[in-house]
Amino acid sequence: MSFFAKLGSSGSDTDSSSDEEEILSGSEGEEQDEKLKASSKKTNNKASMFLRSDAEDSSDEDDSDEDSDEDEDMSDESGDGRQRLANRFLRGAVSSDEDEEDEEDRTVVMSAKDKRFAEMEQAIHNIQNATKSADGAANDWVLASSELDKLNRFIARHQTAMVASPIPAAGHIPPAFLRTLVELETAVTSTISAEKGATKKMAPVKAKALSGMKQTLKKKAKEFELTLGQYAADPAEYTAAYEAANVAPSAPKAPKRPVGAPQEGQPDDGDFMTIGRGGRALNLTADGVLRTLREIVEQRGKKNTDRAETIKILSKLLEVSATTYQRIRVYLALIPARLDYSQNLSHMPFDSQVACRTELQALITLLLNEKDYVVQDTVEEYDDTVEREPEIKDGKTQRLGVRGNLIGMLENLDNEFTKTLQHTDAHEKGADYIERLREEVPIYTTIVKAQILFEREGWSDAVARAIMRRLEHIYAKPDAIVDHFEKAVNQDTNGLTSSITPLHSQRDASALVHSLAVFIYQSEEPLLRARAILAHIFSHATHGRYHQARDLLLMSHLQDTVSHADVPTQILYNRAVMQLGLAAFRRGYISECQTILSEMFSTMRQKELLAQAVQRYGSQLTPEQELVEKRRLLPFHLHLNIELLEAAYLTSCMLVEVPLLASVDTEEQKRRVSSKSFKRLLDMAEKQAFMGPPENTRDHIVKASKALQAGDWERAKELILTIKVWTLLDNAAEVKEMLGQKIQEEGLRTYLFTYSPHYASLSLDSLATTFSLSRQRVVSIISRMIYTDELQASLDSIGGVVIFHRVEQTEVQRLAQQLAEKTVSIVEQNEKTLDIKLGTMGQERGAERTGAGGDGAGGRGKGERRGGTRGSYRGGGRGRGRGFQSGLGGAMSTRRVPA
Amino acid sequence: MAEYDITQRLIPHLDRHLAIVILNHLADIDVFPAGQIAKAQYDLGKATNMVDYVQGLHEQLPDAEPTDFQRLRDEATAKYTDLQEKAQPVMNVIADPEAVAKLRSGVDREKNLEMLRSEYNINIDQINALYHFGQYQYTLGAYAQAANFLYHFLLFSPSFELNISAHWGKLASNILSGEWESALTDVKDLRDAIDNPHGTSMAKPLAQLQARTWLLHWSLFVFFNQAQGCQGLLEMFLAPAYLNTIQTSCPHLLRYLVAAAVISRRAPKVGRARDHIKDLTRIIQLEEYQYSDPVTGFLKDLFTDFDFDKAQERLTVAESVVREDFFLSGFADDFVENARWLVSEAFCRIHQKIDIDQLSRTLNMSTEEGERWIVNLIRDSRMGVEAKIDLKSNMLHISRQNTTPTATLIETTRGLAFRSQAVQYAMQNASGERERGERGERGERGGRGRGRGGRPNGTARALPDAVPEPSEVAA
Repeated sequence: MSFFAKLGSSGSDTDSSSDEEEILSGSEGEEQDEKLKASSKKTNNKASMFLRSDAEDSSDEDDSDEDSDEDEDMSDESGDGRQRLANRFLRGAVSSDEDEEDEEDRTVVMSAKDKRFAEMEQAIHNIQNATKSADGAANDWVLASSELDKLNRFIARHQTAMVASPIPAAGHIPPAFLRTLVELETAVTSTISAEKGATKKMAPVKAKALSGMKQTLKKKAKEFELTLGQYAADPAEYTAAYEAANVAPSAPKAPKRPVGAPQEGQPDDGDFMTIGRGGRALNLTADGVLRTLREIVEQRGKKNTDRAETIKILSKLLEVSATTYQRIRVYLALIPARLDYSQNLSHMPFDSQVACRTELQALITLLLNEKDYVVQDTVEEYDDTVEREPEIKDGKTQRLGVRGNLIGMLENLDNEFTKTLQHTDAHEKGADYIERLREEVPIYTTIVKAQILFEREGWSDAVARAIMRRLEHIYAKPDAIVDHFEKAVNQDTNGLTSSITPLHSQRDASALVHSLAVFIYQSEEPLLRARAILAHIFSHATHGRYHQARDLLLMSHLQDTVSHADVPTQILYNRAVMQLGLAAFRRGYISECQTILSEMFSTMRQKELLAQAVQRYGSQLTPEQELVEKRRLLPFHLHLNIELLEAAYLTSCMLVEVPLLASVDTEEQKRRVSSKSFKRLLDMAEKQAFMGPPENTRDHIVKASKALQAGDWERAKELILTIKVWTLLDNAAEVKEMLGQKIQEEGLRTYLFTYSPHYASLSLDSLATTFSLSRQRVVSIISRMIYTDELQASLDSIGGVVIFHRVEQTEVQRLAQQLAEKTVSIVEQNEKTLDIKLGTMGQERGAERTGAGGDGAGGRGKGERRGGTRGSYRGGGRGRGRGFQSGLGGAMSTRRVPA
Repeated sequence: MAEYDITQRLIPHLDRHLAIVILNHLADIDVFPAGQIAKAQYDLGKATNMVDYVQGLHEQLPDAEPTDFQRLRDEATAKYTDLQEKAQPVMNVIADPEAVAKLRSGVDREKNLEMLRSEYNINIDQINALYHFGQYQYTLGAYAQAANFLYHFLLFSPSFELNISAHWGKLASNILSGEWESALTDVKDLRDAIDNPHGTSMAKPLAQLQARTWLLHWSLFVFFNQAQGCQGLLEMFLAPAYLNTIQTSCPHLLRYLVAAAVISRRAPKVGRARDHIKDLTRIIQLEEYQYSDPVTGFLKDLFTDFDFDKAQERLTVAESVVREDFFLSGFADDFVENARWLVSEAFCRIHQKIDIDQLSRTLNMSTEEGERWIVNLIRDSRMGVEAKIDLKSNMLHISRQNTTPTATLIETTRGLAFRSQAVQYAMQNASGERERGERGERGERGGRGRGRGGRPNGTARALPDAVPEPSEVAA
């Protein structure tokens, strides 16, 4: 930047920019301030100092605190050379608040810290200049006062910077600053005393500045009492200590501590004396545990508390604490401190989480053993710096209450565990993931122990919540893993008893889930009950108990209310329903499976609805929403296998839809009957000119459907059975056998539908051979088709043939028939309208008719909302509206579950 | 047949006295060891006050502990006298024809109560004494009297809880004394009370479920002892709320539901009774995982698997089950007869040529019997098909008129013109009325409107009936 340019332009520029700065520093807080300072530091070289002294007078004055002071400056400027000089230096020091416009041109010469010191020295020098000639007339208290303000501001900033740095407390306050304070104080005192005796009054401005300065000094003396004391005792030693401390300074971290944090008295006697942050001494002895704890607790939640430091201190405190009371108190501070640590991080560091869990478990074990202590949300007031012990009254020990929220900590810890897993990529860092997953066993043990503790205390709410956590850990796990969990728990809970879940008893995972869920059904909390029911359903379904799971779901009436529930519950609902569909498939209830799964798959957003991926398309999500979605994602080990679900769904679709498609004639009807996603797949396959060998599951099923449509059931069967995901089912062999059987039967039906117009009769025996079914089975299938009027045919039991009666319609006849049907519907419409017009008398009939029509349509109204698997689930032909108005009748569901 | 006996599943939902009746039946049919039944009877009767009865049972039991029946009897008599005294004031009032007439004229219960208090000096405690006395008489086995007392109690008592209890008591008493007509009324009353809880203790789902379960069980006594009972049973059991109850808490009742449906298959249809068999088949299939027996199995074999041979086997078993069942034993022949009908109807519907031997076998009959049966079948026009026996080849030919597209078309459009005309007529009437501007006389208008609206309704419903069996022929 050129000299002239600066001269010419900076006047107005700096005006505005300095204003801006003030706004910034005022509103953005310290950090911003610090940043600005650091950047403007670069301007702090001699050249600029000179330049500014002339050009930026007016702007600089904004920085000064007292207007009267400024006026004097201005007037003095021309006359007093020394003031000019002082002014110039002043600028140099003050320019720390300068604008940023120069910074691009300047190179950094000094480190930020060094620059700060240079400034400080300038300010000190100025003060000295202003006061040294105290006996003279030029005793410029005004200048000294403003300089002192600047110095104070500087030291405050410096302190914040130092606190964050690893420099020990001894090196925080520069001795020069202390010296100035001491000197100034003597000077001020002497001047005031001199003034009293003097005949000539001081100028009012000066007197004001003087008294102001006296106040400031007093304040500062109090603030730095401790350090000042050290300094006053032996300045040389302090300086030495300061320098020693600053020998190896590392880069200062971001400022963490608020200005003027309370300084505690420093006992110089302790052998164990540890200097904490900000030059504070921490008393890490057994006696001082509670006091130190209180300080820390006071700090908690404040904006710039260094959490890592707090944790370190607390863990040290834990080592030294001697009594049970102290240990409980320290645990109660330490565990939340650890949990707090991750507030701004995406998740807790793994080791910290492990430590946290260990401590919580230790606390719970402690409380389990020390029956006289109890940790509760509400206890009577007590002085938390005084050591307490359970009192003994009338030979009975009064239990000692300590304030704390155990269940809250437990839940937070559990949430942190989930977060850790969420943020570990199970595919790329499989080993890490597994290692972290191993942590689940101890966490589970902790939860069980907490549950035992709560049970002992009789806190029903906490017990229910702990049990819910426990349930959530096991409901989706295979039996072997649950057994492993339980074994670990049994090892760890010797000598403890639990009435809800008796320990050391033989029971399988299902029984455990059952007893946990049943307990929650009795609790008050509707949300917990809903979640427990869903977990229970999920567990039933995982074990293939389709009917129990279905009955539980239908009886809970959750499908009516789940859309009002919170998102995690809806996700759980979706999961449970999917698992139910899979259970139906495994048990061979194909059409049920298709109905259950169809709603989820028709949304095409299975992964999102199951919280296994965030939405990829349709970027109407704001980043915040996406973040929220991401937080909801399930950890990998809880994921349902979408491919398996899809295979089950599409296979069921194939078995249901292919015969159905074959049975209807017109395109229009075809459109009506088909489930859309499956039809789309078929259509797509149709359009392809060439279909390669099947690669994925979907290909397999589409090709199999094609084969089935053509009557080639063997090919279809082969294609379906070669799908690899079936092996993931635990009864894969049975499922395959069932599928083979179903394919044969549906193949027969499709064949009859498709080719019956071309035959007058077919031999039952040949049909049986073709589809390799028993003759009895063939007769049974055909009989059912005839009876339900699907097939217009009759059997000839003597000849062993099936005779078809169907007469094909000609085009004209078909059209005429269509026309007639439309006319019928128009007449019906007319009648209905008339009934409505004429009032109530048509009601009964109208209701009947809409009822009949609604069956089909009701099932198709599906909402595109999360957890939208309701409504049509019941309407979709499962047709078992089994419910008495039980709502979430917990006890009822309990009754229903076979014990 | 012990394996198919569902007494054990029935008894938990029955009253002690009702259960005694069933146990007595079991003692008669000799399915279970007599000793066990005697023991069960004794255990059951012990808690009642029917001392003589219990003593009789006691004597049958070889190893029962000695009990002082004389003391028990004295105690019972003392209590009886005591309660009787307490209830006496109310009894006096009831005995007074003048008072009864007055009470009859009183419209609501509150007023009656008030009147009783003012004129006869009877307070609520005394009325409740009526209840207790009635209850005690019930435990003594004096059912008819108990029903009588409870009837009077119900007239006066304002308490809902006691009323419900009294209703149950009255129902049981009526059942045990064989007053089927009044028992049926009781069932209806109770059903009303249960279905319309209106904020009483019954409003809780669990209480409701329990009450419905009981009512279903108790009503079995009533329905199976009445002429038109089966229809009543079907109507009640198939009501959605009760069907849900059956599915939820007592699927074993499906046996009675199926039996009733089969038995009433050919009974003259009352009102809009539908063919329940189809619905039931679906329900049985749904509930198969928790309940199945030969009776339900028969329906399943026939209508989901269409396995006639198996159905025939099942029918044989089912017949013996039905014969031994307490409720159904009187209907065994009806059941078998109707079940055969079902089989042959389904058989004829599916087949074109039937070997008479085969059909007879399927129906579990000799060829000769079968032939007669088939002739009867053909004679019954309800078959909806034309069938001819070809004795030469021992065959049954069933000729079914296959619908031609033209026939279907005619069928679809049949009545359309008439219906449209009806609509038009109704519209003309409506507009004509409006023109005449009879706005003021609302009542008349409303009444006419109803009459008019009924017409398109009536015609629409009448038309399908006029056409012989359209639903079976068409489609």
